Amino acid sequence: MKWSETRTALHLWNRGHWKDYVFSQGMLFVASLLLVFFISIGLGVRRLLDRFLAADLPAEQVRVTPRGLQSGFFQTETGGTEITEEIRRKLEESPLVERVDPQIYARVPAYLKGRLGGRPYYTDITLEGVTGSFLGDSLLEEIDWSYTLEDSSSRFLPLVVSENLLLLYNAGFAESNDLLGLTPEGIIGTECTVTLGRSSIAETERPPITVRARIEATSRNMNLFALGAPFEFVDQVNELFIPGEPTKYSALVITAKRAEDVPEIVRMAEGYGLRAETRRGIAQKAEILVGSVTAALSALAAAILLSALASAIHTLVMDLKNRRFALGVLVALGTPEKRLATIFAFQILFMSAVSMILGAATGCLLSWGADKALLSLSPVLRAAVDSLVVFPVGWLAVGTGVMLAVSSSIAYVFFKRILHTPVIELLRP
Amino acid sequence: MEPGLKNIIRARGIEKSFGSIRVLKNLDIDIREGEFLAIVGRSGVGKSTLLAILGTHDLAYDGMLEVDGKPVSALSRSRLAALRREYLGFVFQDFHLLPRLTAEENVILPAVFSGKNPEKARTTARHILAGLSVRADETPTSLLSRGERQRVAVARGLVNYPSVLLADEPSASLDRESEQSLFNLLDDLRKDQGFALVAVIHSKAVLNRADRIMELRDGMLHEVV
Repeated sequence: MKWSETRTALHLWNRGHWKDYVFSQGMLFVASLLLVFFISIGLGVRRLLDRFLAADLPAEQVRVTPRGLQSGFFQTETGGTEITEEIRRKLEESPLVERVDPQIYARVPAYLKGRLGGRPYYTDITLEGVTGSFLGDSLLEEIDWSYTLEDSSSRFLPLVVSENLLLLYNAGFAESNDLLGLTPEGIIGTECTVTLGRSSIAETERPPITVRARIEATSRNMNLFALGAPFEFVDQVNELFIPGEPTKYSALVITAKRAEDVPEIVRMAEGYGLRAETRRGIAQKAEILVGSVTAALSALAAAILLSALASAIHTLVMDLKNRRFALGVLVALGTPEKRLATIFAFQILFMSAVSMILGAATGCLLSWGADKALLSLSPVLRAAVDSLVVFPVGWLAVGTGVMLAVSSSIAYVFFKRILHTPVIELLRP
Repeated sequence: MEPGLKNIIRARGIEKSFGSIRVLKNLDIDIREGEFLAIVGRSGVGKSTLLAILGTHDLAYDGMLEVDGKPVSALSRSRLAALRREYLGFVFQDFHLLPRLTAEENVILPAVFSGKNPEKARTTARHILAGLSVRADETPTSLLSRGERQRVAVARGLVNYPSVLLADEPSASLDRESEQSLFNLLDDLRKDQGFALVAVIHSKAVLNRADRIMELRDGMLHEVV
């Protein structure tokens, strides 16, 4: 059949039905638009969460913390067992344990002063003493992590900033104070002074001390909550400001000799009244969160997709149903079924494909626009990710193809059923 | 049967029931090339049913039907469509026009859907419509008078130059003058194209034009002399 004949046939067939037809195609357009929009945004959000929650703790590590949460100078809960030197030693002596990396908060008020982005900068801080092995070899390659007060005249105190802290800063403090958002690359190398024994809200009886410091690296280690400094330095500061006070660790990162021993070490730590978290536990929490967000977005996308698809199919099928009689007339007058099928396959399949491809393209454009708008509005997001959307072209093509196949197939099957109905029944009013 | 005239349609032992009611009983009929066969009978006697069977629209019957020597029951769906297209024209009692299309578009629609050149179909349609005094303008058929719609239906039945035109009360909506005019034209076209006309007719005014008149009574056809 020539194109001019097909065009005339389609033109005549759709005379007076264009509104219905455009509506059904519009539904397919909207369905594929929403599908692409939600999938690309959903996957982007999932990637963002993955990045936030990624912790590169090996499977054989256990993080042990007191039940009461103490953050540097502040104690949010009291009364729980604290991690003492004795507990640390007992854990270290266990035959199941390979190594124990202690963490310790500087239990003195402190602040940091310097220039960031050309502007003077001041903030109260919490220092957390960590060992070199806690930070890992990759971070320590270019950093000399040994530092004591005696080095303060000749060297900068090396600092490692937790990326979790950076995110908290960007998400709340920077925005509310109209400060620049900070990226890991932007702060590495920043020089400043750290004063211990005084902050904007507290000071000690002992005169404060100030050391020059430099931010040497950032860390994604989820066990680091504050500004990381060499363990020996923080321990020395605590001894200086709170003399005679026994060492209390903020956390111990225990490395088991074998991953299978982790549950036993957890039981041991919990036996001391401490909280023990494993990589698996952290990962499970992260997975639950990421999984929940992904499931919610997927469910929303699926609901929108199904309702749009159902609506599009309903419109296509109703259009055919309303025109059973017209189809009956054509068949009664000897129109070949193959020609009818070709014309309607073209109408349903080709036009639906065009609608859905246009919808998918518009969905891509919309999610791309949403990405640009959100990133331009939020320095937090800009600091965290390059892009909020992910375009898995293969999956989107498969999704659009499946939608096209489902809607077209159902409409076409319905159409064929009409064609196989006895003519005399089609002609009945 | 007159010598030299072959049967275009041949039906034997046609039986048709609706539930327990037997409408057609062992009915035989031959339709000859170029003849005008008028079918008469009381309302509800089964005239439209018979025409639907002869037109191959109703295939649920017992008996044998041949069109141009081809047994209808043995034909595939595509061959049946070809047979309808090439041999049979049909004028429905209720016209069955597509209301949003113009007269011309209604006439060319089957031809266009059958893959015929739209322009050629248009030229033929205009010729037939002009002969039937139907205006070929942009008016949708839903806005035409009943008489005009009936003539459009006749034009559509003739557009494929059929061997037989089956017409279910083609002049039911026409006044006497229009009825005569329609049958004058059908006579001319019949002479010109040579198709047979099988029409269900109530009007005595046109019965005298028929070559044969058959009355459907008690499920069987009886020749009226």
